[in-house]
Amino acid sequence: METSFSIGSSKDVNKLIEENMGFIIKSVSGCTHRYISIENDDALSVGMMAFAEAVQKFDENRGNFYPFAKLVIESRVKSHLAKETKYISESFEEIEEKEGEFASREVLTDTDNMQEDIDIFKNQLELFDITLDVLVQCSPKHRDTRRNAVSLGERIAEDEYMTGIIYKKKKMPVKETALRYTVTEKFVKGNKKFIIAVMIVFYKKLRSLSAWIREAVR
Amino acid sequence: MYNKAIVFEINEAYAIVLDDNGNFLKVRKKNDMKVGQKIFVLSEDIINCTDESKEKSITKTSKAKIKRKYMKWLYTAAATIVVITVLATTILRTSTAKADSMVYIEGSYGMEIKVDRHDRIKSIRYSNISKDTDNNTDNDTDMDTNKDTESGDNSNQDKWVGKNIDDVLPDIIREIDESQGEEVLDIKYSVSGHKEKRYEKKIKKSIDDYKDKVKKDRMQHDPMKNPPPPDSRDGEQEKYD
Repeated sequence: METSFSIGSSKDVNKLIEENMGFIIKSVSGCTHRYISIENDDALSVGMMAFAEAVQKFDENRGNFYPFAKLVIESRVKSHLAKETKYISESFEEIEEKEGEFASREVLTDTDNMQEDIDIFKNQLELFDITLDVLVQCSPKHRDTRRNAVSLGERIAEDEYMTGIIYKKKKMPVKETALRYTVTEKFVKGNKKFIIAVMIVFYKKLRSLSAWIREAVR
Repeated sequence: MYNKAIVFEINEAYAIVLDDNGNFLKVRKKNDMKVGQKIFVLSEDIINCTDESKEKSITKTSKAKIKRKYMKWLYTAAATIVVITVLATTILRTSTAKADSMVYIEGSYGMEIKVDRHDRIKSIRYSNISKDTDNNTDNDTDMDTNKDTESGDNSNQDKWVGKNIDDVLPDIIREIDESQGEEVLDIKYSVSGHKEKRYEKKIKKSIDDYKDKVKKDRMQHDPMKNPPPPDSRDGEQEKYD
């Protein structure tokens, strides 16, 4: 991140926002004390607009841009949060009136689907005595290794014979896997828990998760 | 630097997410988190596992150092205790070898008899605590003072020194009682040391034997003290009536 900010005429505001997304997220998150949601986060939108405002209003003679931008973002986000709280309390009665109407509608959001997938995933992991904490420790650190592990997990998920063995034994047969998919035993042994986790995602057809993982290693 | 991630698990102190690089990460817990939520994660939100493991290893090493330091002291303390125990045992053995048991017999006067482990009398010390002098205020002092010279029976006690206590016990008891000179035999005794029970039994038996013997002698030599059979006494009573 640049220490001094110069608004070049060649750079448009959208590009500046894209380049400074980390700064905007950090400023908004610091103000709201929560993680910024990727989908439909009003606070982030307000933050981005505040950043654009700061770019337009910034006077280079007045000092550094980032402290100024941070002030503008925090100010706008705080007033947005205050308005939001007021609106929620005012419309609470109206919502209560329409409660019956809301209850009858069951809208499954993307987060709900993801939550279901994660529940299945965790239950399946338990069969192999693997926890998410273990996965944090065992995940391959190198990007290429991770890509290869994901690829192997996906291939195993499509192989009924191997999935049968793995689910029966509740563990991965290292030698057999290495021979069957022409990979080194060391690679299988070192990443077997992560490979099993990936296998579960694809074997159980957890669509939200499999899409995320495919995107991750692309 | 930021990443996109899906929240997989929310624990008390941290959350586990899967980021857009396929990494499972531990991140700081913040407000309004939901499982399945897609969030932006900043690098400062990530709880670095390598740092954690480093910290753990550092604490392990420092713990090991502290342990080693304490173990040194522990070994020294243990060695000292062993040495002290050995020394104490040796000292106790040598001291008890001098007098294995202490027998105290009290009749007209008290006798403190030191007996070694071979039942031989090592020394006799006695104090004048005759019943006549029970009210004497110097009584306690007498018990603690060696009265070998005062009694005048020094020769008697000397003749028992070196002899087996079992052999001389009847003589000692007779000596004490004769000095008492009373009809009712009242001999007290106490024993301390290794053969406490054995000596107590022996003394009790000797006293009982002596009592029987004295009773028999008195009955033979003093008919007045020998009560007539109940029938004859009744007859005499009838005569008076």
